[in-house]
Amino acid sequence: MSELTAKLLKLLGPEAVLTAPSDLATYECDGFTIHKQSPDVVVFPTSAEQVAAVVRLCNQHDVPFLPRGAGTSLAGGCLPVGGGVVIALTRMKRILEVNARDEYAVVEPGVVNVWLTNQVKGQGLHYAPDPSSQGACTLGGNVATNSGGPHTLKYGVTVNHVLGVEMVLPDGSLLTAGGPCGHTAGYDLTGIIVGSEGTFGIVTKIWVRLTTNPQGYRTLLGVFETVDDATNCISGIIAAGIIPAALEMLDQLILGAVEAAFQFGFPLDAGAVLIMEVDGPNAGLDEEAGRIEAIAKQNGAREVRRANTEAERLLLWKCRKQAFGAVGRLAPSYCTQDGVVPRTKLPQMLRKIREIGQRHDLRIANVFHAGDGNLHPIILFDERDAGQVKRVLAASHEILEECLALGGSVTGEHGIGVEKLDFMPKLFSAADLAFMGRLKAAFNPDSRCSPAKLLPTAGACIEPTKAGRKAAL
Amino acid sequence: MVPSAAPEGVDLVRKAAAAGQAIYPRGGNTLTDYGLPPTRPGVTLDLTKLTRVIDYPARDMTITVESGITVAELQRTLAAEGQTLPLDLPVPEKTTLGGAVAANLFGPRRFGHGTLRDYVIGIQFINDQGELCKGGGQVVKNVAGYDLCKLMIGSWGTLGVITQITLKVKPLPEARAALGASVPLTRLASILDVLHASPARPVGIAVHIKGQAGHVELLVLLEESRPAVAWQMEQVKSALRAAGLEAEPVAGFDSRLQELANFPLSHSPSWVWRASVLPSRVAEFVSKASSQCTELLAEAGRGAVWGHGSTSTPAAVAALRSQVVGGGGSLTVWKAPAEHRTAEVLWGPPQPDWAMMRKVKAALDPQGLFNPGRLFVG
Repeated sequence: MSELTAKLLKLLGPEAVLTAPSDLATYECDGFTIHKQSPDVVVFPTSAEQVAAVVRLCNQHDVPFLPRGAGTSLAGGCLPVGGGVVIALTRMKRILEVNARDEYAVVEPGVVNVWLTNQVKGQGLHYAPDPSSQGACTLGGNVATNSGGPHTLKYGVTVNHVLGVEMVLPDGSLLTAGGPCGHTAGYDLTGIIVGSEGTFGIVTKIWVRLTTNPQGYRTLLGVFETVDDATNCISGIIAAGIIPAALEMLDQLILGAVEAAFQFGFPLDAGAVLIMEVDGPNAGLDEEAGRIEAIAKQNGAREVRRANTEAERLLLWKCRKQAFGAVGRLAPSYCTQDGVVPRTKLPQMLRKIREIGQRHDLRIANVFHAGDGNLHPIILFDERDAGQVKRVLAASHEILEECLALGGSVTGEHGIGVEKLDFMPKLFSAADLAFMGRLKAAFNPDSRCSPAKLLPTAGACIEPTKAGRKAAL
Repeated sequence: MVPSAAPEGVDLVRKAAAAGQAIYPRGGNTLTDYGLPPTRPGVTLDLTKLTRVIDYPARDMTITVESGITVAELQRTLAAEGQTLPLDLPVPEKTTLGGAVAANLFGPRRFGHGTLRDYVIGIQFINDQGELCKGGGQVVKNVAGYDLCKLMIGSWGTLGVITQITLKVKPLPEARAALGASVPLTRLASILDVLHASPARPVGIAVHIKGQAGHVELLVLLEESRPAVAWQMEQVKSALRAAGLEAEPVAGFDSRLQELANFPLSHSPSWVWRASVLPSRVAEFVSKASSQCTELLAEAGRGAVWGHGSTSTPAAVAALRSQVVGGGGSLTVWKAPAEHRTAEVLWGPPQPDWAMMRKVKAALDPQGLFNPGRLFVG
C-alpha cells in the first residue's frame, strides 16, 4: 500500500492525495452511517487521464478503488469495502458546454446538481432530475444511482436525461457511450451505466439533456387530518388522469421539525400535508389546480392552500427538500428507507409502517414522493444506543419486506449500495443475479472497482457492527 | 416453432441450444431487412401466440403484457381505461410490443413523449442458459439491480428472447390538435428556430419531403388540456404567420400520424436509413439528403431523420453519414440491397464503443445462440 501511495503522490502531487488517518475519517462512510470503513488513500484527480492513471496503478498493485462524489449516498455506495483508494471526483467540477438551442449540456462528474440549473436558468432551461440533496450531490453521483427526486412523476429520472457518458473502465481504458445526440446503434451502454452504482467504472464526463422551463406553476398544499386521507387523495388524483409535476407528502412528525426550522406556517396538528404541483402553459393550469383542490376536499382535506408567489413556492419546496436536515431536531440519528409500492397500495403501506414503528418502539416520520409510490420512512434513533440500532435495522428490514410483499421494490432511487445487498436475492432469482453478474464481469472482471456493491457476492458478509462513530480526536 | 406460453419457449430454447442451433426470435416479421443476414442454421421462435395481458392495474398506470401482443391490441386495451402508450409505432396491427422494444422503434411524438426507454419498467426474457430471467419490476421508480430493460431495448434479439414487458403508461390527453404548413426548403431552418423559440411545447414537429419539390410539409402536433392546446395553437399560428407562413389546423390527423409512423416500413424503397442529428442541424441535413432520397421524414424536435432512397450507393450513404458524424450524430442503414449489406455500409466503420458492446454480447451469449451475426456485436 505504501508503494502505491508513493506512486499516487508522485502522479497527482501532495495537494491531491489524503493519507493521514484524521483526514481519511471523513471518507469512512457516506449518508449511510451505520457501516464505516476507512479507505487507505483518497485522491482528487482533475482529468479523465489522471483517473485512468490512478485506476491502472490500483490494478498493478491489486488494490480496490471506487468513485465518490459528494458522499450523499444513503445506501453506503461510497463505503470503501476492503479499504483501498477512494477516487473523489469533486475537483472535476466544470460545466464544459451549454447548448441552449439543442438543449443539452456537457459536464464533469463533480458538478453539483443545482449548479447546472443555476447556470442555465437565465436561458429558460433547467436540469430536470432534482433530488432533495441537489444542493450538495454531484451529477456523477446522480448517474451512479440513477437519482430521482420529487419531479420524476412527470419528468422521469436521471437515465431519462443522460445522453451519453465518458467513463474510465476498470482496466484503465476510456469508453465513450452516446453523446449529444444520445444513443443510436447497438446496445444502450449509457442506459446500463446509469444506475450501475460505480461498479462498471468511473464516469468522467456526462452529456445531459436540458429541459425548457414550464410557463407556469400552480403549487398547492393540502392539509389532511390523517395520512390515510392524504394517500387516498393521491390515488384520486392519479385516477382522474392528472399527472402533477410533483406530489409530495409530509406527516405530522416531520412537519413539526420543518416548521421549527423554517416557520412556513405548517399546521402542527395536521396528520399529513400534500404538496401538489402542476406545471405547463398557463392556459388551463388554474382549471387543473381547481380539479386537484376538489379531489383533495373530496378526500377530507381540511383546507387547501396555494403558493401565491414564486417566493412562497420556493419556500414551500425548501421546506420539503431540507426536511431531512430538519430531522436533527427530532433525534440524534436517523435511518431512512427508499422502498416503492404501487401507488394504490400506499394507504396500506403507511398503516404497516405505523404498526412496525409501534411494535419496535420507534418513531418513524414520513416525507416522500407520494405520486410514484416511493416512500422515505425516516426512523429516528440514537446511534449510541446499540439496542436501538438493532431495532432500527429490524424495523427497516420489515418495511422493505412489506414493500416486496405488495409488489414493489426496495429501492426507488437511493440504490442498493451495501445496505440492501441481502435483499437482492428476495427481488431477483439466482438466474437473474447470475445474469447480472455476467454483465458486471464484462465491465469489471476482477471486481476491483467498487467491490461488494449492488450484487451480493458469495461470502461477502457485512455484519452490522456496533453503533457509534469512531471518535475523531 | 410457436410457443403459446413462456415456459414452452424456455423448453424450445434449451433444446435448440443443446442441439447447437441458433435461435431467431420473431414477432410481426416486419423488420427482417435490418442488419446482416443470419450466419448459421437455426430455429425461428415465433412469439406471436404470447399475447396475454398478464396484469393491468389501471389506477397504478402500469401494465404487464406478453411480448407477442400487437401494438394495436395493447393500445385498445389501454384506451378502454382512458390510457395510452404515447409512441408512434409502425404497422401496429402487425408489430409486436416485443419487436418494437427489440428494435427501439419511435416516431414523430418522440419530442414530447420520448421512446420505449422511458416506458419499459420491467422485462422478462429467456437467456442463453434457457432460464427465464427478469430485470426491473412493476413499479415506476426502481433502481434495484442493473437496468436490464435498457439492455434489451434496441438489442435486436441478440441477448435473449423477450417474453414479457411491464410498461408505465400515460392518461390519454384531454385534447389533441395538429397544425400543418407548406414550407420552402430554403426557409426550413429559420422556421424550426421560430418554433423552438415559441412558448408552445409541441409533442412532435414532423417534416416530410417527397420528391424534389423544394417544399416540405410541416406538421406540428399538440397534446394537453383543452385550454392549453387552444392557446398553443394560437401561439404557433401567430409565430408562423409573423414568419410569413400560413398554418392550418389539420382535421383527422390520426391517420396522417399513423402514415408518418409507418415510414420506416412503407413504399418498399431499396434503401432506408435513420440518422440522429442535433435539432439545430435537421434542416441543413435534410436539404443535403433530399437530393439522393425519394422521401424523407424528420422528427425535428429531438433530431431524427428517416430517408428512403432508390438510387443510393454505399458511397453516397457514407457521405451523408460523415456529415452527420461530424456534427456528433450517427446514421444507420435499416435496409439496403442484398449486395450492399455489410457492417461497413449499415453502421459505418467500427466505433470505439463497439468493443465494449462485443464484450457484453460475449459475456451474455458466449455461444452466439441469439440472432448470431445480425448486429455488429457478433
